[in-house]
Amino acid sequence: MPKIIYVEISGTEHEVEVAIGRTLMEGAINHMVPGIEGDCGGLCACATCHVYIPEEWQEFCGEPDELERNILDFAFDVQDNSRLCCQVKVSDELDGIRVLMPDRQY
Amino acid sequence: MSFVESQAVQLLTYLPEALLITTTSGEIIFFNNSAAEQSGFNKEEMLGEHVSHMLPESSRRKVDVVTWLNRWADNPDPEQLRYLSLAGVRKNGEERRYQVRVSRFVDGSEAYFVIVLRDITEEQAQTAELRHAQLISNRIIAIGEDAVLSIDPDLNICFWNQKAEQLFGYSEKEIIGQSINLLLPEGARDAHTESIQVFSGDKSPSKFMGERGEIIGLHKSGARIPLEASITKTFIGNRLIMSAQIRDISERKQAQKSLEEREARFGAVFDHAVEAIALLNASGLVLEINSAAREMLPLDESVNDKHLWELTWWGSTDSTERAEAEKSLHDNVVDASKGRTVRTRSELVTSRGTHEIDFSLIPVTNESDEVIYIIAEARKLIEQL
Repeated sequence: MPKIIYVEISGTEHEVEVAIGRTLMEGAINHMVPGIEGDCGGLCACATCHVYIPEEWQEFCGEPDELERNILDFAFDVQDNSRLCCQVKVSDELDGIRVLMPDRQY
Repeated sequence: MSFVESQAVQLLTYLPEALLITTTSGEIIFFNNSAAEQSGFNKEEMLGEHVSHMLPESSRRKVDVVTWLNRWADNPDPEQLRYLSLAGVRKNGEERRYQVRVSRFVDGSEAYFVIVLRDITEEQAQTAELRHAQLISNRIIAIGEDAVLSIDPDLNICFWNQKAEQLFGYSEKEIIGQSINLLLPEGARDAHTESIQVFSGDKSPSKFMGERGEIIGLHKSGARIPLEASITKTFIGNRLIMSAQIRDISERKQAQKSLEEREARFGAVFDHAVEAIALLNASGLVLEINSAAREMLPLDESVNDKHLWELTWWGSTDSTERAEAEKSLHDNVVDASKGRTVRTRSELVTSRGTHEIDFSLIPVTNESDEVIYIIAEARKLIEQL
């Protein structure tokens, strides 16, 4: 299973294995990684699974659709590399990705 | 305005929900009493204002209020409206979170937004707090340093954390539904089942396991692991779930064994030395004394809680002589406690004879150069001749 490293704003790293086809949000919630809330359970309706994807990994994460781009309006400190991680599915290519978390989700 | 219309306006004004009506560009044209109460702004100052006066755009969030009012009015997605909230601000500058309901109302060629705002600030903060508290306890159990497992009323495992996996070698998938006996050596199973039954019937909610001796667990490989464990009862519905918090104490046991061996080796040297040796603390109190030194004292003399000079090394009954000898030894100990090595040669007249001795006081210091112990050593010179 691909290894995903969730990095808190403090620098604390959480390395977990996430099954292919699951989303980065599910991986964080299932492993109780703090800092990703996922209030709506993956419906792309809440903006509480906001993360930053480093440039070198972006091509493997796909492009955000219009709904995701719109909902990102509600996230805190959105940058060009912001994503809602309930919309990013885990694949072999994401093995080793460092997912950076924002300061807050609300 | 007809009677019914004026009644309707009254109704909206006194509606117990905060309600405002804006033009589609966001200009407020109606602001009810609850909206005034909730926001701290009064009706007169808000009429004609833009809605962003109470729902300001933030530099750290990109939400454009009017765009979202349009979206929600066109497509009132219940999930989004449930989870998304707008950041608002009260007149006093206090930040609030508002859940929004909006519909579009068309009157001839004009369209308006009818907006209901519910202040969910406290509710949201409480939910987040509760969730975080839950996350902390879940994390402690799931990835903490102790192995945690739970068993159902049939003694089958129904919870298994990461450390349990590491300790016993079974993955969660392999162990869930299996009997707890799988983790116990065969000879210990009946006694374990019995003690669980006793515990399930008694009044205490939790207890430390192993009062009747060491607990041994069985690794998947068949290896025996010394354990320390405590057990907790929880009723879920009417099902009794018992959870154990387990710690591998192999390393601690090994360390204890090494320590004991080391102590035995030092004891062998200390007790079998020909020289009389006593270990003192920095103020001269006797901590340890070896057999050779013990032999120099009267048989019935206790050395507990005594300073070196208070022991009857001297057989003389002359109290003046004795006091002098005691004082001289005391002064030597004080010297040693200041870090000086003291060596003297003297004649010791004890109850068991007269000895010519070579006597030393050797201070032992710690890393900060403070004297922590003094070693008193006496060698009988006569015997060496």
